[in-house]
Amino acid sequence: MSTTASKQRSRPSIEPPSAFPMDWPFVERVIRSPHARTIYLWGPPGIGKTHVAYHCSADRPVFAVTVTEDTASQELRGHWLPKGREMVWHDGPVTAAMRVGGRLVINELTHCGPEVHTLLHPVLEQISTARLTLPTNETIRPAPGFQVICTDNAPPEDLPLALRDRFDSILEVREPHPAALELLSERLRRAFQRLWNVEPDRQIGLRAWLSLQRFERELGLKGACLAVFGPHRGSLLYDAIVLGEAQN
Amino acid sequence: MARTVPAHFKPFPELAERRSNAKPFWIVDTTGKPWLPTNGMTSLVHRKLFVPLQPWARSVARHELAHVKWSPKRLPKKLGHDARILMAVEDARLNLGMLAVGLPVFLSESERVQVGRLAREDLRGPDVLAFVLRAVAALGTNAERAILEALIGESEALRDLTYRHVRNVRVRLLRGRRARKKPVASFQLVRRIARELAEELQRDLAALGYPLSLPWPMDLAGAGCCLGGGHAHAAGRKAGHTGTDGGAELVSGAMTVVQAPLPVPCAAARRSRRARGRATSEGSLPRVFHRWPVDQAVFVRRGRQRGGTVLVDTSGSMALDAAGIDRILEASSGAAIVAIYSGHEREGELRLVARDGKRADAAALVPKGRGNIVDEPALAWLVRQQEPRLWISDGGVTGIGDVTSPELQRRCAELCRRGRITRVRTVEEAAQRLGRRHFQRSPTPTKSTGT
Repeated sequence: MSTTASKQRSRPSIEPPSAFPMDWPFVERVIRSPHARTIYLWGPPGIGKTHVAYHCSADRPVFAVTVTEDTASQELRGHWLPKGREMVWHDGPVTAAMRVGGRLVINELTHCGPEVHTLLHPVLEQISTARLTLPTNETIRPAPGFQVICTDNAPPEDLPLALRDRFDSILEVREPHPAALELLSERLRRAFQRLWNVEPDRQIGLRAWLSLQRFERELGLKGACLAVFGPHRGSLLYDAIVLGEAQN
Repeated sequence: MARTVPAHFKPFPELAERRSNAKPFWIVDTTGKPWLPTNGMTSLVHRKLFVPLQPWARSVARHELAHVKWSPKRLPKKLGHDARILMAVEDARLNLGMLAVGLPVFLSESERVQVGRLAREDLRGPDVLAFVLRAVAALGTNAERAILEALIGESEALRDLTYRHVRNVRVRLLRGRRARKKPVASFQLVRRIARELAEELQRDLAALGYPLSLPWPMDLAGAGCCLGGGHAHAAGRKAGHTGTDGGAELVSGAMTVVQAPLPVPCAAARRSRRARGRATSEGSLPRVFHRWPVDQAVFVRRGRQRGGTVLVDTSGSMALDAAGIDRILEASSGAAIVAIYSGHEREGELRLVARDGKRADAAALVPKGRGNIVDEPALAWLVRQQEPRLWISDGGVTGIGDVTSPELQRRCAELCRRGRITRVRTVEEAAQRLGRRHFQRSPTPTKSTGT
């Protein structure tokens, strides 16, 4: 008996590798951390990334900007504007956030062009080297509290290596934020969760479900489906919801 | 080969099923697939839903959702009679259930005409068993009348036989539903009704001298009242019978990238203007001071060079001719890169046929094979090219052996999403998109907005 017991003790048990759960409380903890100065937050659309970036520990001013392929670096850094007979310098959101030690939220980072990427290189540097020299010859150093959160749907692999390397933390979230989910009624929340795993072209984002809920109060379920999803998709979704709620 | 189709015609069976399941349904489009036994099928075991992804097919989708909601996962193995009789009664149970929950299976006028035509063909057969089953399966739909109207002019005995059995099934299903106080009768009752119907039909048809078997084989199982093909409705198909769909492990063929000789210059490319900077009143560094007294637009915003990449799927019926390339080059001011791809068996080729305002001659536009094979590596190549990225294709993607799989489709869709690839169907559409981009970004003076 004792021999068997010792054999059992000596044999290591085979267990699955420990998972790395990336849930929303953890994400918020990282965002609040003073060590996380540059964060890349990515995941599927409509799960609350931008909301958290704006509102999580809102103890500092937030400067938000959404970049596109056509966004010029001047829009982020700042630009001259004519005022009367002279030109006046206006800070862009990057410069302003660095000056006051605010939080800079850049949405859809992978969508912007290389010009913006290059501008962000010195901004995302370590605190000791981060600085930005403006066309006014003024050099800006980030004030204490300066933080950059970039949100996107695409993985960080879509970014150039030099930029990717400058993030202190890369956070991937897959689940919708619990606070956002609580806004849905019980029945729509159940429907949302059932369709969460379907292929992308059938997926319905949280925003659409919230719209459906708002419209439903005024137009009823049928009208809400029509208003939010159009005649074809709306009718198919209506059929499925009604049938799902029917008795077995 | 499964085709990518507009997502807004895809139903949501996950919402209708009784218990939540982490594995989503695979929605398969049955449009243009005449080899399938019918245009609407459900496999609860394999979690597949076969429906036409068309605007007119809502009734088919509704009926299939009813299978997801109320049908058992598997049909009983030992029945003692033809399984198609059970399927017909099950269809009737579901249609009556849908009627009860306010989602009637409502066929369009043309579908009803088609069902009526099939019913008349049954009687002309004479396949009375098929006709009766069709009428039973149509219970609860608006096709019931179209089927029964086929009896006009038939013998009184035949009319009596059909009406009696159809009415009997309806009354028993409705009573069963009422007894349960639920939208549908139980499946046990369906089995009982089917067994008794089989016995009675055997006796009655023999007495009238009609054949006792159905005209179609068991593979095309069912009665399919409300189905376009009118001869089948297979709930729970045999495993492995998935048409040309490959498994999840399907891989793409090996792709080689070749550069065709480009001897033909595009005249339109020479004529077109190059992209220029745009004067604006906002900016960092003033560059054009001479505009200050005019409109104060002393800054220059860099213009984006026009161009883009067009990838053309030349498999199957798709093709690209020299005029098509000229059209693309013209729309992009000669700056676009054009490539074609196709394959055969295990390998494919991506051929660059236009760049820098020059194109290949017609002889270099002949595809390497008639299959897709290398959609995935070709799309991966396109992701690395200059934007805008256009993919002229019917949307079907295949790998080795010209077969497809949901995993391959998912990977290609992901590439398109991440690489911001826009799929278009024709060269004209691609040219329009390139041209529109040109129009949007043409240099325009900006008014001063001095503050």
